[in-house]
Formats: sequence, structure tokens, C-alpha cells
Amino acid sequence: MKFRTFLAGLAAVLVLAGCGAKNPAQPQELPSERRAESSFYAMDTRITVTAYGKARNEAASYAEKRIRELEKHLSVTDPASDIHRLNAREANYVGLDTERVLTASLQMYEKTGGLFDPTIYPLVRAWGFTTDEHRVPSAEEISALLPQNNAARIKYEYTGSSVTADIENVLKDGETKGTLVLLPDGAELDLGGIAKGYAGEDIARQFEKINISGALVNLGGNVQTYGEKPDGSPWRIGLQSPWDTSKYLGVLNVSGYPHAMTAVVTSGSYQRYFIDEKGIRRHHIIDPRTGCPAESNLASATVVGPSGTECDAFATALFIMGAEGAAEYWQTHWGKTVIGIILVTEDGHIRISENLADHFTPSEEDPLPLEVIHR
Amino acid sequence: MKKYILLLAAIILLSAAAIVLPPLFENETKEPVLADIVQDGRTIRTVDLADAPDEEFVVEYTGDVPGTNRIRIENGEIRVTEADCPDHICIGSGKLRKNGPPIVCLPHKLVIRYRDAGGIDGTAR
Repeated sequence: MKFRTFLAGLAAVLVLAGCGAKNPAQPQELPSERRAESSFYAMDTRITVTAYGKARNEAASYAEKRIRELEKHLSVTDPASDIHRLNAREANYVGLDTERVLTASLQMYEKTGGLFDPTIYPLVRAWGFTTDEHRVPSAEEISALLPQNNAARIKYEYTGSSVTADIENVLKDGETKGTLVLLPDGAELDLGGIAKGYAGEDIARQFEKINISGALVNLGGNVQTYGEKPDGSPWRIGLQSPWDTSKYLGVLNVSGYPHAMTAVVTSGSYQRYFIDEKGIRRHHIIDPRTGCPAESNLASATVVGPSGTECDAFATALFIMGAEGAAEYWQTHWGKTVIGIILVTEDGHIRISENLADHFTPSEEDPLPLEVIHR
Repeated sequence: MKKYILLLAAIILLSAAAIVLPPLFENETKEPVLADIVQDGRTIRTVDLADAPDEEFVVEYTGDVPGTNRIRIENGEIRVTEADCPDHICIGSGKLRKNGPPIVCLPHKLVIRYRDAGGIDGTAR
């Protein structure tokens, strides 16, 4: 015991003398590393916001407020949301946020050749993914619910603040919900495939206006970075293994330069699925062409780029395309851009686009074979 | 005879030293490995896995989906062993890994994570 006391005394002396770099009781914190973190649950997932810089506390609380606000408008289950009311044909007018996300999702519908489709909600419900009461719908039921070309037939128009006749369309604070949206018969919207990406991007854009040097918003695995860490080192984003959620496949280094904002969004069949009566695994990513879970040879598709909104929608579309289709899409559309992709195939291969290859460090524990997709 | 007693005493002393001394050294030189148990965004307990005695305890959640998670600390490893959440993903995650993502029980808003998560700033999934 005496020896122990001696060591403790020695440690105390070292700490007092300023040589003790490590103080076990409290992790040290340099002034430049001061950060604010908030963690909460919204949009059906766990969200963490980490912010560095002078306005870090305001940034963290702003982010939470903003995400809850977006959820209130975009939730497909909340009876008071714009989306729920549109789907139930209770209202035709939506607010600015809903209009923007709807606009973005229809643009993504175009860009992905319809593979990202915001109108597949009736199918998602038929498969039971909205209530977790999973079932396999009959072929007739599926074909009746196919979205056809519904997304392209949505009409919407900003009508300004003159829309005050319907009291329901006027928010308590006097804001007017001024965009008229007309959905084709049978169509129901679900912006869940883009809302998290939009939220992360929207918040990062707000951070540009305040005194924040760097921030990371993680919406349940949907990551958006802004700026840099205090020491200028890249953000390190772990890519979760589709087969073992306690492991990473590798780490992606995301630098704050030259692009202040970078999103990393993954779409995977491993996140939500059920096993049907015949023992077939049915995951939640519905192919709008077939109305069934996408038959993809991918376990996950990750898209890295400045816009969280686009990455979110593209991740879903690339997953549906499969490994070959997704690689080709990247070569055709993004070969000369900063947008990068990481594809993980069902048979355990990683295919990574050339522009990301230098930024990705595979895990040392059982690394998967890695191939580079060239321009 | 005296020789044997001395030898025996030496053996006893040495083995005693072998048992007593290493933990003394270890205790003082081991870096702390802090894991936070976070409920609904609040850290409810922090354990130093480098120096934690084996134990089991139950964390209760009284929010939207109320229930409990039983957490076990054993040989410096932490895991969820029992839970009455609907999905049991927290149990399926196994032990908390140094270079892996945190253990999450979404229904009970529970997260177990390393304070220094191997230099990882976020997990994409």
C-alpha cells in the first residue's frame, strides 16, 4: 500500500508541476477544443449535434429546434403535419419548408430516373414498414399501388400570402401556408427518404451565418459536416458494417477544405427488414418499378457530397440500381465532380469511387477486398 | 531444516509478491477507458472500463416506450444482457468495441459509448 501511496503522491506532484498530461478523473480539454454537444431523439432516430466555435451552444440548441420544426411539418404519421394533411386530403396548402423539401424530392425523382420516388408511401404501408406489422402484399395489391408516374403529375404553386380563407392554413404566429399542392388520385407522399438529408444540409447552411468553425450533425447515421475541427484535422466518419453493427468497415476522412459542407449518407438493406413466412428476407427499400423490396446485389450504398439532401436521395437510388448500375451512374454523372460513392456488395466487396479512395482507410480487423471505380 | 524453511519462506514471499505487486503497478499505470451510459441525451453514469469491478445493474426508462435494460460489466467489457424493448438490437450488438459504433437502444433512448471513440466523429449507416 505504501508503494501505491508513493505513486499517487508522485502523480499529484507531477500534475501540480504541470507535467501530468493525463488526469484520469477529468479528460483534459484545451480551450481550442471546446465543443458543444446535444443529443436527442427526433425523426424516428437518435440525433447528435457537435459544434465548435464561439456560437457553439447556440448552434447546438438551434439545430435541435430546427429539426423538431422540420419534423412537425414533414412527419408522415403526425396528423397535424403538412404531409399527413395532404395525404388525408384534409388540406391543399403547405408551408415553405414542406414546399422546399417537396421541390427537392421531385428534382431528385427526375435526376434518378424515378428510382427515388416520394410517392411510394402506399406501398411502404402495404408491406407494413410504417407500423412494423410486416406482411407480403399480393401481386394484385402491389400492382394497384404502383406509383406509376405520380411524382411527375404532382402540381404545386406558390400562391403568396393571399391564402387566408382557410383558417387551418394560417399558423398561430400569423405565417401563411402559401403553397398549393395537388396530388394525383391515390398518391401519398413520404419525404422520409430525403428529410434527414435536408435537415442536416439546412442546418449546415445556417451555421455559415454564425460564428461556428466546425460542426457535425448526425441524424441516425445520416452525417452532415460543416467547416473544420479545431485542430484542422479531417472529420473521421466510420462506415458501419452491414453484417455486424458493432463493427466499422473502415473510416472515411472528410476534410473541411475545399468544401465547407460534406454529407455522408448510407442506404442499406440491413437497417430495416423482416423475414416472411417462406423465410425470404424483405428489406424496406422499395423499388418503385416493381413495388417490392429492391433486388439489389448491394448490402449498402454510401454517397458523399456537399448536399445532404441529394446524398440522401441518391443513396436510395444507387442501392436500387445495384453495384454495376451505381458504378456506371457515378462514372457518367459524377466522374468529374466531388461527389463520391462507396458500394458494399452482398458478397463482401467494397467498391469505392476514385475521388474517395485516398480518403478511406479500411478496418484492420477482417478488411474486405477493395476495388476502385475509375473515371 | 533451516534451509528448507528459508526456501519455503522465499517461495511464499515471491508468490505473494507476484500476486500483490502487478495489480499495484497496473492500477497506477493504466490509462482510464471511460464509457458513458447516456439516456435521452443525458449521461447517467460513467464507468472506467480499465478499472471497473464486475457488476450488473438495471437502467430504467420512463419515457414514450418505458422499460428497462440490464447492463453487465465483466472483465472490462460492457454490454446489454437483457432488455424489454421490442427490437433487442442493444443485446444483439454484444460488447462495446473500441473501434466500433456505440451500443444503442433506440426505444429506450439509451446509448453506451466510449468517451474517446477511437477518434471517430460520427458513424454513417
